[in-house]
Amino acid sequence: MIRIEKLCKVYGSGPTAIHALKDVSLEVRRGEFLVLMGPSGSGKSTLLHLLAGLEAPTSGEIYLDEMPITKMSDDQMTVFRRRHIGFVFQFFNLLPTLSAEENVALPLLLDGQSMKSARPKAVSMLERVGLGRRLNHRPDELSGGEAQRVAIARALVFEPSLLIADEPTGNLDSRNGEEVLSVIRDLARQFGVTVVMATHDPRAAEYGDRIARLRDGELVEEGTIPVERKAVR
Amino acid sequence: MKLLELLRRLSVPYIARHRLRTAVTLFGVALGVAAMTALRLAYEPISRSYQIAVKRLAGRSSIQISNGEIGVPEELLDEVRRVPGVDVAAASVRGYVRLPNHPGERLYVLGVDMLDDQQVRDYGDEGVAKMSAPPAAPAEKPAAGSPAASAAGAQGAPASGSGKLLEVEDPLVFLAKADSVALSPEFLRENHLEVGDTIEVQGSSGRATLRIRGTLDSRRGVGSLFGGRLALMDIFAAEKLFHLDHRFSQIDVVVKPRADIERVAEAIAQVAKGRGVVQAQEASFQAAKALLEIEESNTTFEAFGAMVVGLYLIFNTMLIAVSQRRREIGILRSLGMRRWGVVKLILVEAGALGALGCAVGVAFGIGLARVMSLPFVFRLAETRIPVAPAKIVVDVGTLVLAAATGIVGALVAAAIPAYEASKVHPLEALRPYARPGELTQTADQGERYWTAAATGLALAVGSFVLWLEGRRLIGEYRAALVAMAGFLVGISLMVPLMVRAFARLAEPVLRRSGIALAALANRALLSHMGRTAITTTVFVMCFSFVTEVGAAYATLSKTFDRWFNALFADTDLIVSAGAATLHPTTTGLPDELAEQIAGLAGVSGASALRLAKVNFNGYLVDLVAMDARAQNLDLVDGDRAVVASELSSGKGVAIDERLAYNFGLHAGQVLMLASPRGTVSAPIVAVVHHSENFRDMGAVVLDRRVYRSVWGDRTVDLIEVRLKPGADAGSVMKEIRTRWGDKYELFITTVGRFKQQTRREVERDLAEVPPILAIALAIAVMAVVSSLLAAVLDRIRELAVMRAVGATRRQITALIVLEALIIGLGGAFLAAGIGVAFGYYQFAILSRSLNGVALVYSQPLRVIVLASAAALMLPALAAYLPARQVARLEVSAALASE
Ligand SMILES: Nc1ncnc2c1ncn2[C@@H]1O[C@H](COP(=O)(O)OP(=O)(O)OP(=O)(O)O)[C@@H](O)[C@H]1O
Ligand SMILES: [Mg+2]
Repeated sequence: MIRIEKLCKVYGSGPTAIHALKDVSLEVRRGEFLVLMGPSGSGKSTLLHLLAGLEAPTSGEIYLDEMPITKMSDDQMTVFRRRHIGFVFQFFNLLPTLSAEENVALPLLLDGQSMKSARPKAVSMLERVGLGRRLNHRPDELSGGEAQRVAIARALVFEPSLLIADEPTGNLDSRNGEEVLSVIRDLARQFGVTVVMATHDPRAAEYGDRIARLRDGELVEEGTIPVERKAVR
Repeated sequence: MKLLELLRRLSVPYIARHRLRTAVTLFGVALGVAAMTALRLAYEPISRSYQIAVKRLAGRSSIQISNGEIGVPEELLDEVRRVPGVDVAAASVRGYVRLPNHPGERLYVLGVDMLDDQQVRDYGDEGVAKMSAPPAAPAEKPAAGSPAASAAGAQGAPASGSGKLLEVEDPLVFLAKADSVALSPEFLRENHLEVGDTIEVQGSSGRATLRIRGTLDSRRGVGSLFGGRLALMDIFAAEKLFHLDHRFSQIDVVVKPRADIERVAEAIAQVAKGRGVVQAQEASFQAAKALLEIEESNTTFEAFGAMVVGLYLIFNTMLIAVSQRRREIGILRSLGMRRWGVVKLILVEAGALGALGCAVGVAFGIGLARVMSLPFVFRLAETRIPVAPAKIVVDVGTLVLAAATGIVGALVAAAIPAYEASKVHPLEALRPYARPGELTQTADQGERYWTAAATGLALAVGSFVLWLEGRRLIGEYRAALVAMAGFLVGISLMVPLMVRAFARLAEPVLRRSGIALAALANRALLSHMGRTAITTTVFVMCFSFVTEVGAAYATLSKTFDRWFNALFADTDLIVSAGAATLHPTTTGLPDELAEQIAGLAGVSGASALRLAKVNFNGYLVDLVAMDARAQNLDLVDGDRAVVASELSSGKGVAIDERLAYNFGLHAGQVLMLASPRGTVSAPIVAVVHHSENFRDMGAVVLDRRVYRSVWGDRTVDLIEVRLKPGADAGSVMKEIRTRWGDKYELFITTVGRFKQQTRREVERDLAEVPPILAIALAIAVMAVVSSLLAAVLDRIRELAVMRAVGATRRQITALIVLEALIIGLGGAFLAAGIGVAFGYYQFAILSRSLNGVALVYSQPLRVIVLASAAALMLPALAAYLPARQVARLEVSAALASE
């Protein structure tokens, strides 16, 4: 599903250049839940942004379903991202002026659908994340856990093939964090979505199938998570 | 000192990072301050130099006896001399002449009796310098009956014909010849003339040839006036030149030492019995002061507008700065800074911007003052008041005022942003991605709009009622100004509520429209209603100005038509003397010419019109004497035929609206007018409409036969020619030109042409409108752009999120442009409505109170449509560039940044 080949990302140039990613190669299978770990500044977010086509690599290539995404134009990439990639952020990043329902419907609206046709999909996605009663709430009327679940609904509303999450629990207490993680895992399984999630939290990592560790922009370790340590439903 | 430290560490780097915005803000403040400075600097020296000019022309005299262009009878001079307390009395004749051989030049003639006059006026160190008796002297013919000439002759005119340069102390030779003229060296040099040459001049009685026999000291004294365009000549020769039939323009009186000026003036007035208007010198400043005040109030309005722009820019900049730095402010608050500390920080920043803008503005204003004073000098010259361009002196008062307006204005403008900043909750630092204002939102948001609108309505209605009921108490003009200001302020307070209502109405419509982006754009506007409302208000007020100006143009033009069409109802040709008909510098014509023209083949009739300035209540007003024809009377009310017969039988006079307004007159009252035959009491039988010109003080309209017998003036300013049916205008014009064209330097034109040309004068008066309009539109667009910029900066993160969930660049651009379009749409509607209302209010309801004239209100639909189209499109066009910039933003950086 995902094939990353010799990915490099350099910020700036000259002596002050920062090599955020150095020759990272990695594969993720369809339906797999990959957890990216590593210390702060190791390049996790950079890798996720490249994966989502939010910025371009310095060198190397990313294939999604054998499609080289770095070759796409900005517009092509945007539309591809809209339809095939969902993104969940640490700080929820909901649009404050829109209701929960409208936030979830946003990718559909941007794709040219009318609110009429988008609404049922948004509502059903919100029901799946357990927020069927919060449809018309504004982000500032939601708790952190609720806000993050709205963000997940938004990421999944197009039923994408890839879900990218950058420290989705970083801003939540452990109870809310666990709730969010199980929502991600359950829905991912339900929809057969491939998940790549960055986190610091070893307990969050237990929700994944496999762990990749980054240090100073290099992939230092890959491994599956022992079954006995896997979080149970 | 803590504050200073904060400024250095927080404010300075911030300002440095936003150089462009800072520069624009500084420019705005500088513009306002410059306008204020220029206004003060330009007018003060003009009125000062006017006073100097008047003093110099008056010399040692302290009382004047005059009556506008009519003048005073000659015999009054001796009578005045016998009044106790009078030391010296000297007469003079004054007026402009044109020079047929030097096109474009004109001279202010001062005709005096040199013997008398040197006791009154200062002619510089050398007096009349370098007089020469030219070789041609014997051929010269002294003006018959000139006492000066005969007196000089009696003394033998010792140096006459000697061919040598004469000493200045002896003016007798100069005066012995009635055609002598003394001119400034500058004038001679520029026109390649020398002492001894002759020069042709054109006065109202036709041409005269003068011989240059002296030069004036142009460094000081009388010779220094008029920028070297002064001609000193014999008083009786000048009398003839201006067709003054045994009248002087003016008598200047020097009172005896220790005599009471007021008392002497009273005694002279008793002797004069209305044959001239007696004024102590101070009073003669009034006419010019009135003009100055009109000019100044016009310009004050413009300067005030410029200041408002500057303050708006500060307001906007500070608002953006606060919204961009909420987090920083939150951190400061959470670290223990008190609300007042935040307020102080913002105010000091704004004050510093204001101060810096002031410094630039003052420098700019001094330059502007120089430019501004030029056209103004020209206008004064047109009214025949001698003023040379004054030197601009920068006084401390002006500097203090400029600094105060700039800085205080900046602080006032920053008040709301500072208040916003003080409301930033400490938690905003800790929850960086909370919705702005989320932590502090209060329930009274909606109430504010209603409160503002209610206040606005009360202001508009209250000021209207004040005008309606209270104008007797506080004066028409002031009441109308209050009503206008009340309307503008009131409406602008009501606009926010209307904007909010508009956006709220649009909300469901847009949501259902299926254009998701438009709904999103409207939502963004609604969620920052405060900013949207202020922006749209500025936008609406600026654009409503466009519609109002359209009404102004159309109304003045229609009013002009009414006046012109009535005055020249059945006229085919207009004959006058000089460069252009009715121009203030035209010279008059003798009235026999009208009769002679009437006798031409193809002409069915010719009537003459005299327009003379006379003194009235200390001001110069127009005396309009016309050959009575009922159709020329454009009555405000009353019966034309009746009024016409009353005028022609000499029963009374008509006055125009301006005179009625300026002096509180109405039909039935009796006017007291000075004339060479003494005071004339003239009952007012009617009030006639006025032209669109609001600069003059008003006019008295009377029958020309009455005028001629009472004022003894046969001069006319223009002759209206009526053609026989089927007669060819061209050949009649040609006939008139060949017979009298040269003699009087005639200017002959068809009434249609004349109308066009006069209309051009009207338009010249409106010439300052388009630049103001351009500024207003620029402000409107700037308001929208800077507000959108603020909106965009506020939402960088939101926009990045939109990009991350799949919005293309084009969609982001479209979103911002749509926001502008919605502002433009709402703005266009409101601006059209408010503009029409304001135009109607000003020109149809308040105009009588504002300027005394009932205008012919007209509102061109074309302007409304054009203004609305522009209001709709301009913001969207202007928003396109910033919108594209935003669309290019680095998504991942924006997401990562705090
Ligand atoms: N836009 C940028 N410009 C310059 N340097 C950047 C930029 N974005 C990231 N970096 C640098 O690249 C490196 C990797 O950053 P990245 O955000 O990927 O780390 P991370 O693993 O996500 O860290 P964290 O766990 O703290 O989120 C860091 O050294 C960071 O400073
Ligand atoms: Mg990160």
